Amino acid sequence: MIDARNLRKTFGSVTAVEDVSFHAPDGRITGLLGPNGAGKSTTMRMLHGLMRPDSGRVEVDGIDVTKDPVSARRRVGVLPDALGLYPRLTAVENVRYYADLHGMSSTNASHRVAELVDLLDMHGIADRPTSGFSQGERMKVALARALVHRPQNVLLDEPTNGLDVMSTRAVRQLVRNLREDGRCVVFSSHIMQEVAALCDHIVVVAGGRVVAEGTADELVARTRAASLEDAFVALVIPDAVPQLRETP
Amino acid sequence: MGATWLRLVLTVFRKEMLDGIRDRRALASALAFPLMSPILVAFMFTAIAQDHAEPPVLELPVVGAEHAPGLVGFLESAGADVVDAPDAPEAAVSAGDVPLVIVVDEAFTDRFREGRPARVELMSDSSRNAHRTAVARAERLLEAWSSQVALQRLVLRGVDPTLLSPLKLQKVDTATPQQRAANLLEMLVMMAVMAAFLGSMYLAMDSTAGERERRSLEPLLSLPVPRSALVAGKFVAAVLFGVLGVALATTTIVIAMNHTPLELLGVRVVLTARTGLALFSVLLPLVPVAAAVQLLVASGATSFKEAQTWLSMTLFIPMMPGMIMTVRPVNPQDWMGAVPGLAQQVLSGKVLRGDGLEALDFTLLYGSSLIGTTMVLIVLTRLFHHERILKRG
Repeated sequence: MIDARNLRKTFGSVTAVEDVSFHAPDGRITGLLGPNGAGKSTTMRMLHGLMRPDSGRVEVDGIDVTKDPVSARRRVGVLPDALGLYPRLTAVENVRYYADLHGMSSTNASHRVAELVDLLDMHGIADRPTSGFSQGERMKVALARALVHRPQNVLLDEPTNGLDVMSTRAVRQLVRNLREDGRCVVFSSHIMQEVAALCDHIVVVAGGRVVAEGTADELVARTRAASLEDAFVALVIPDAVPQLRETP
Repeated sequence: MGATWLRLVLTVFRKEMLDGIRDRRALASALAFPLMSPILVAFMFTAIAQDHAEPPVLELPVVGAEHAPGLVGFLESAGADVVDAPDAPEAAVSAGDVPLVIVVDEAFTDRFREGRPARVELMSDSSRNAHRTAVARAERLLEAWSSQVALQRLVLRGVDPTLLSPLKLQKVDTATPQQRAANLLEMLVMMAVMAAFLGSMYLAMDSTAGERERRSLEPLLSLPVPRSALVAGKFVAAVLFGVLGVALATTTIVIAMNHTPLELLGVRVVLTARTGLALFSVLLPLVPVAAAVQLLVASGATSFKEAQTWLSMTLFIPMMPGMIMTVRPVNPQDWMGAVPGLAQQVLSGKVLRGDGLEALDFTLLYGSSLIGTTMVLIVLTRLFHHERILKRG
């Protein structure tokens, strides 16, 4: 469970996040939907304490992230927008490094890594250095790395970016399985179809603010738009399609 | 915290070592330099020593030898080989075909008989280092003949030739052969200091600026790992590479110098395993300081390229005292032992000169290293806590 209240973050004179609040309960996929530069990645970074909000606060399973970032991070698995693997280490070594850094015991770590190799179908690439990996292969390793400690909360920053159809479907299935497991998943994307297909609850972010939230149907109904795409445009740039402006 | 923290440090350390060993560039920069450079220096010394050892027969091309039979006779009796000069002497000298040509003036016979200065030209090209010895030897021979003739003339006129030497200069060199050798070996010390820096440099760069450039820093910092453990693990890995470099450098120095005929250069240096060990213990405390500074500089840089630029510049810092001391030697003072880099230069010199190290030297050496390293690591850990560490250029 992740609870964000009135998050605000500025870099010099640029306000990246102005006022973002939302609640992401367990067993639900919460989508952060917004155009590029809306403040999604900065929000995601504040959710696990990689960045400290100027004001507002985040609680992960009731732990204040600013006060106790290490305890909060134990309960979070993060897939950042850049995958950043170690090219000279093999896929398994990359995942194992994170298992060790999570303080997992040797047997527990080996067991879990083998399980993830199975789950993500990484048998063909497990013992190859990651330097020549395709984007899909890199994504699998990064996902395995993020999930290695069986985190209760999972933050996925644009996880289907640059993936082909097969890999995208695999990622979607994995995310659904996490929900069935009762985990809290926060999924950020700028692709509406992606969010619509996967998320139970959508938080639309634009200009560093939450402009609307609800299920896909609710958003469409509320904007009286024909489709989620129209609803999205209406929410993000209200003046562009005046007839679709959100009613109070 | 204790045991868990140590385990995390060990995990980071192991990963960085594995990564470093698989990285050919890190290995090459850590190992190639300490392996190659002392051997190169040994070759240089050997070449110089052999030049000094067996002076070849001096060949003197002379133009107009017939005008000065006495001079020619003297030169030959001194062991030189008087030969015919090439047709275009000046061109031959400047082309480097012959080291020098002696040209005897046509009026030599007449002027010599009248007791007036007779002209002899010594043509040489001073820009050619290889010919310097030959030219100097020819010059000495000509001067020797000149003073011999002068003495004869004075004696003939009944003048005591000792009147011409109011001063009798005798040079006494108090430097022992070993001390003279130590000056030569300053160069080797500089290389060992470089080895300490180069050993850890690449790994320090790759594990900080490289980590950020590969964008693996952000997920790493998202882990529930104290930043101090990350810093410590990376630091220990860089130190180990540095120690490896220094150990290799001192070993190669000892082996290479024992296979160099330094005694032919008039210097004798005894580099035993013991001296090697002393040298190693002097260089060792430089490694953690270097590694910490490199990690800090590389972490502060916005890109791998920038880190590379800054770190190549910091390479000059440990070289500076060595360079200055070669040009303008200073007497070692106790306080110098407390400045990492300078201390290595001064104390290695002491070791190689055959003087022992005192307790004070060791206290200053290791004390300053400990304090310097700790301070830099504190700043580095703070930087790792700052969001700025994520910022890429």
